[in-house]
Amino acid sequence: MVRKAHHESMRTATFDELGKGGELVKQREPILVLLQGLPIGYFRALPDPDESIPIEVRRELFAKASEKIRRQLDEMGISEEQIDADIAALDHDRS
Amino acid sequence: MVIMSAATGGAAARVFKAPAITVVTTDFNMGEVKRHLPPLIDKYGLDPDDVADALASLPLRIYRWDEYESHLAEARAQMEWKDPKDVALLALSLKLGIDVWSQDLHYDALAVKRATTAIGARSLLCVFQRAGADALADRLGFPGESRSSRESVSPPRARSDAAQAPTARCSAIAT
Repeated sequence: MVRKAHHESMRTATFDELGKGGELVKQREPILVLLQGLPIGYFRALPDPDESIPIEVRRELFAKASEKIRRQLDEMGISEEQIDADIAALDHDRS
Repeated sequence: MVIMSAATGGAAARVFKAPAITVVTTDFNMGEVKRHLPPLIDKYGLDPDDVADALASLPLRIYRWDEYESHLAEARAQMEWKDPKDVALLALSLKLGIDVWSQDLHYDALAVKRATTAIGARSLLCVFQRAGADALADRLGFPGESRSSRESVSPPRARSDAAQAPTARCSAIAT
């Protein structure tokens, strides 16, 4: 059961409810997770692309989101090539 | 795995940002992306919210199983013995008749063509346009695109033209 928290717009669920998966973990909005009535964190599912947003708008949003990630990686000295090599290794393990 | 690369700051992100290329994939492949992303997020210490924002905004059309089911038997015959996880994407490629954008060698020597990120965004644009995907992708329709955007689609161009016209639209299927 997903509920709206008092005085807040964020939905809440118990730790046990979240652990059962199902539709709850497919929610696009973040969910405040409660354990014994107390908030212990929030859960946000990795989403699919939001196809309700026009593709050209998404392209602009994606450019901003990916540039933010790129800046963080640049600060850590992680190159595009390193990421792609790690993904290729994952892909190899997957086969 | 080019979608994973795009979502985590790899070279594929530059291709997704190019206005000329419309990328599609399958629900199966999107599930694979989400399954394999957490170790990368952890390894690089990325903020999961940032990666979620990148995923949610990906300019990508996802095809459901029932939209490529018609070509699954043919795809299984060609691919299942190589890698069953590549069957869905091959089925979609066969259905739409457009190239696969993948680093995966399993797609070689099949009825579909494969392009890799390594050749660069401009070259990918040329490859995808040469495949003549514009008209087909437009006929199938991409939810969320404005009518004016659809009407501005150019017919497929020769390779030399494509390099001069980076705003023309074309399509690719991403793993």
